[in-house]
Amino acid sequence: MKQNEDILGNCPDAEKIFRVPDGYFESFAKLMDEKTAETDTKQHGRMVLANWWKPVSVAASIAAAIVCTSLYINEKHEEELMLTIEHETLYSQLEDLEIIDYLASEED
Amino acid sequence: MHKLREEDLFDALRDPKRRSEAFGVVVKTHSKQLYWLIRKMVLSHDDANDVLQNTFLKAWRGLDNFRGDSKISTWLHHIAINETLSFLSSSEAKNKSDLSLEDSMVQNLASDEYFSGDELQLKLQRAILSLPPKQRLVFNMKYFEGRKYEEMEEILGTSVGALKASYHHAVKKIKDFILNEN
Repeated sequence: MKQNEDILGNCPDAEKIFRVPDGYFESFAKLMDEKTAETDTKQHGRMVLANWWKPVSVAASIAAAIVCTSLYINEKHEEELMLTIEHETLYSQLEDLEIIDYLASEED
Repeated sequence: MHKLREEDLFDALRDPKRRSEAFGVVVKTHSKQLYWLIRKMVLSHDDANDVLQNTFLKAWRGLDNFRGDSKISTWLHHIAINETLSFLSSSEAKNKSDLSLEDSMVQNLASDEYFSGDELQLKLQRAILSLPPKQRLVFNMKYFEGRKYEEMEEILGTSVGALKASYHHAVKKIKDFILNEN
């Protein structure tokens, strides 16, 4: 009981209670050196990819915009063409008499 | 390069040509102190090693954002503490055993080849683990490392008064825990 009450009385040396593998701190600096170099290589790889990807994505966006615009224009043109053909077909189907009647009614 | 002043070391860290070497000096200078701070929180050597590596990797990646407003050691302590607390909360989330994270940690500690404490030390660790993580951090820094409250204030961003209160509450809780355990 007395021992328990005094447990905080004498601070234990944490480094004696908790141990580390032999030479841990000496090898840790070397390990970190390798890890940071590895990180740099990865970051460099990402930068190279980003540098390559940026112009490609810009070019692809421009190409996509051009394709969309030309598709839209083509579609409009086709619609207009279809309308003209439809009108011409409609007119060609009118009887001569119907035209004469129409013109006569206009004159009245 | 070992004898560099803080300002020179900071300049070297900003210089791409000298950065790597300067960071090596930072690792050599601060790894031991940070390791022990982390180890007393996570208890296992393997976990402490992982958290310490993440701390330095975060520091390395964040070198461009370090403006030198605080000391290098304070900046590293901030990262180490954040990494440790994140590690503990993610371990808590991942813990699928019937035991609480703290009980699992004590159980693992008892069989840890890198722990040489006796039954009484194990009991002390169990009592320390009963504290919330931030209070545990305050207790460890004051009790085991004997740090000044002013230094802790700078690192933890908590006022000296609040730190004193937190430490005294922690001591009381630990004593109560040990007495009630018997």
